[in-house]
Amino acid sequence: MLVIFRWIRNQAHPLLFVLLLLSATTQILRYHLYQHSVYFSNALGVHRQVDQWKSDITVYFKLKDVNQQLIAENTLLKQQLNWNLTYNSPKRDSTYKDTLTGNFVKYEYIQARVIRNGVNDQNNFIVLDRGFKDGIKRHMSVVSPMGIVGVVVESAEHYSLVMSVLNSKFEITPYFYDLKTSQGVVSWNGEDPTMVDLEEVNRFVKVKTGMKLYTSNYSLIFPAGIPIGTIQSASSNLKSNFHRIKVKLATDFSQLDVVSVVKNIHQKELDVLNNVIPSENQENSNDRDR
Amino acid sequence: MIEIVRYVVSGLLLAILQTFIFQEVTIAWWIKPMPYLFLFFNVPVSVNKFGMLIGAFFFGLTIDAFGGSMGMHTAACVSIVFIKYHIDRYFLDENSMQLQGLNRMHEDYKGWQWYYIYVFAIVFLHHFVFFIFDYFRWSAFFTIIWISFTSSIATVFFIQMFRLLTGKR
Repeated sequence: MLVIFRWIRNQAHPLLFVLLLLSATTQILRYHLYQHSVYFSNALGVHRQVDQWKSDITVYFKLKDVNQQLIAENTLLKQQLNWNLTYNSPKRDSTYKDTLTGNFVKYEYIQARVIRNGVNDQNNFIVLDRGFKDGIKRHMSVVSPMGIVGVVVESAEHYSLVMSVLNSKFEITPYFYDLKTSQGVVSWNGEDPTMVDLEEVNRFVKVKTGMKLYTSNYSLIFPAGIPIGTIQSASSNLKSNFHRIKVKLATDFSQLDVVSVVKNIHQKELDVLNNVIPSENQENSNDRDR
Repeated sequence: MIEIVRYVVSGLLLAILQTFIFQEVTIAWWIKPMPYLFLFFNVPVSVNKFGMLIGAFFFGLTIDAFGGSMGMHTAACVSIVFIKYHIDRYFLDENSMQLQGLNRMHEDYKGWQWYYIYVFAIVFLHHFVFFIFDYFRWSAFFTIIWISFTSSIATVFFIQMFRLLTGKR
């Protein structure tokens, strides 16, 4: 405090000058219309610029919250999508409300964060930070904003294990959007983590590169319409009845962060019906969903 | 005390002259003399610096009140008194001035060339501050320089006239 008083005493002359000059300047800005308008328009410009800088800086601190909001909004939007609605209404009315569950949607989405991920093994698994306490159970599908991710194979109290698409045991039947048909089996050959093979597609099907593949509505695990990938190359020969197709995955597994675990509200019913079918399909029902 | 009254009276007279004559008579748009600065050159260099600042503030305020230019002359007067104090401190040697029997800047101190440089520099700075507030835009910067320069010449001329008239050499 003493230092401040000493400094003020030493600088009294310049301080008095500044004080008097400020007083004069205030009078100028107050009583002269032109100077007043110039000053306030410039001051407003400076104020806006400072506000802009402040906003540019603070926006970085809010990114986490914004991200969370976007995830929540994304989840809500997914639940409102047409293909998410149940079609077991006799009237096929999208506003139909299921009397059994009280919901009119077929799927619920549970947000989770990837805490462990691998792309280098033959059989890759992903660990999520949500478990059965959050409602995650076996055989639930996992999707990302980019596309399909995998299927839950085990769930602990707070964590769950997901069989990735990049797993040799994972198989799925794709829907060809351009051809309006579901055919073949998508599986990973254990080599390139961005590519999968599509087999068992009849060579008479007119497959072209660039065609988009989605999950089909025959799937008991995945909702229909989730991107799988894009056909990168397709070849066929007379010795075989099937195409040899390479598909570029929609999901970049090296960039996985936030995913949604999809809960089919009618899964129990489907499981009961599925168990009635006495065929070899059962053994593959965990990972091959036809 | 008599000295102070004398300065106050001459200040009032100069303010009236400035307001009713020099502010009203237009020689050219780029010549706006302000010979009231004569007062500052008359004040001894040894005068109290705080008193000088406050005096300049009220002197400028008086001219502004008379002429309706609220704050402009006040800002210029306060600035020039502050600057003049530092110029005097660095360029004038009080001891040698006292030996010559001087208490303010004079032709006899270092010759007429230095005297006129000193007066012109202070007048120019005063006018520069005044016209900055008057024009109040960067685009008029060179106009401000030009009008300050030409008005300073006129002001120095009138200050010399006052000196001759009042017999203060």
